[in-house]
Amino acid sequence: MDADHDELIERAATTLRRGAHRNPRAIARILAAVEGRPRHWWRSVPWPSAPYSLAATSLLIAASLILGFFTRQATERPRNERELAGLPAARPLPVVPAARVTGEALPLPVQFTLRDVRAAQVALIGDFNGWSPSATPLEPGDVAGTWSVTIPLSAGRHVYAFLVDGKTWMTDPRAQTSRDLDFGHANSVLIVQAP
Amino acid sequence: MTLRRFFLISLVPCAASAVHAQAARLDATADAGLRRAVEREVVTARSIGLPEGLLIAKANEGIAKRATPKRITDAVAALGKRLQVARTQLAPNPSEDEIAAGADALYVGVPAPILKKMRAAWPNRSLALPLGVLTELVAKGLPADRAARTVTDLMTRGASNVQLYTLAQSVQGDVAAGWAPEAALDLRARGVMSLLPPAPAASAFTNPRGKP
Repeated sequence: MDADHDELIERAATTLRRGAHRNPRAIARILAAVEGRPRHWWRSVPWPSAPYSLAATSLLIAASLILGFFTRQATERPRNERELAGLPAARPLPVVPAARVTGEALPLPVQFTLRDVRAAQVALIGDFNGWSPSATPLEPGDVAGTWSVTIPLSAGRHVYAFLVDGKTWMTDPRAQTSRDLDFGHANSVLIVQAP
Repeated sequence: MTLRRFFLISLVPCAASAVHAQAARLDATADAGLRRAVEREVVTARSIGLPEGLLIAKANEGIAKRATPKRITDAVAALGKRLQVARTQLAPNPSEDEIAAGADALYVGVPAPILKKMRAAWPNRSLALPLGVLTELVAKGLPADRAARTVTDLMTRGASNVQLYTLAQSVQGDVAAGWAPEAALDLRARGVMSLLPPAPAASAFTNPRGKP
């Protein structure tokens, strides 16, 4: 049995050895085809392969933090200097300021509505948008004289009002009001429930 | 880690910076004198770590209400003091929302020590909503001590933010309907209390000196 087995292996090896040298022209053709294939430039770039090491990951995170720090320096400081120098500020985004977000509970969407058929434009101003007349404009509804806007608000008590046509202060007819001892105009009051 | 993940990580601090940059800006119509006065208050607040955006927002509120620069400056300075007191009373680590809510409570006449007692009642949860509820109750005409005792008792007995919110809404509605504020608070507080487990012991607020 062992003799048969050895003989079989030996015959197979002999055949394979003979085949490997039998057709050198075929081998030459294959090599020539491989060498002639067009090479793309990106194949020569030594891209890092996943997974990264812990050190490499840490470096990437550190780089992103540094990038964020310089972005903040570039966007915030000149803005304050411009403002304090009396130059007009850029139009703010209608978002809840970071200062009002605690992180404990997500802001909840709150819709503000007003019906005023004579208004040409209405803005929402309150402690949640820095009382900025340009931060949160209300959009006109399909029915004439209806205005609304929906914004996310953090939990707690908020005071606000509507500014109609850029000059008329108006409390929300649908909300409670609160006295204002500082400036003498009543504010509307809203308590946003935390989940 | 893929390149896409790297870029997403890069965007997080950038986005946070952009949101922060929108936090507060003094109205462009403010005159130079007011601008300088507000700047002084802001610099002072920044130097002691107070949320300066609230001061700018107060100035903007005055500008929107067409108040005089003197009145606006006084209001901003007074707010700065309230923020400082609120932060002290709500120590050790109040959030900006809590400091703002504490300053609002002080504004309507809530005594400063009550903030400290509320912090003791809820040391590990945000006081933004309870302080807002208390502020609204006092603003509706309730004595600050009475309102604070009720809110703090509810907090000590495990009332949720939703229950505190419901209390404030109910009292608001009752007062608007012509009820006396104290009667409304008493009735609505009983309603919430009935849903809570009995108090384990007298709270620090109801027994401030610790006497039996």
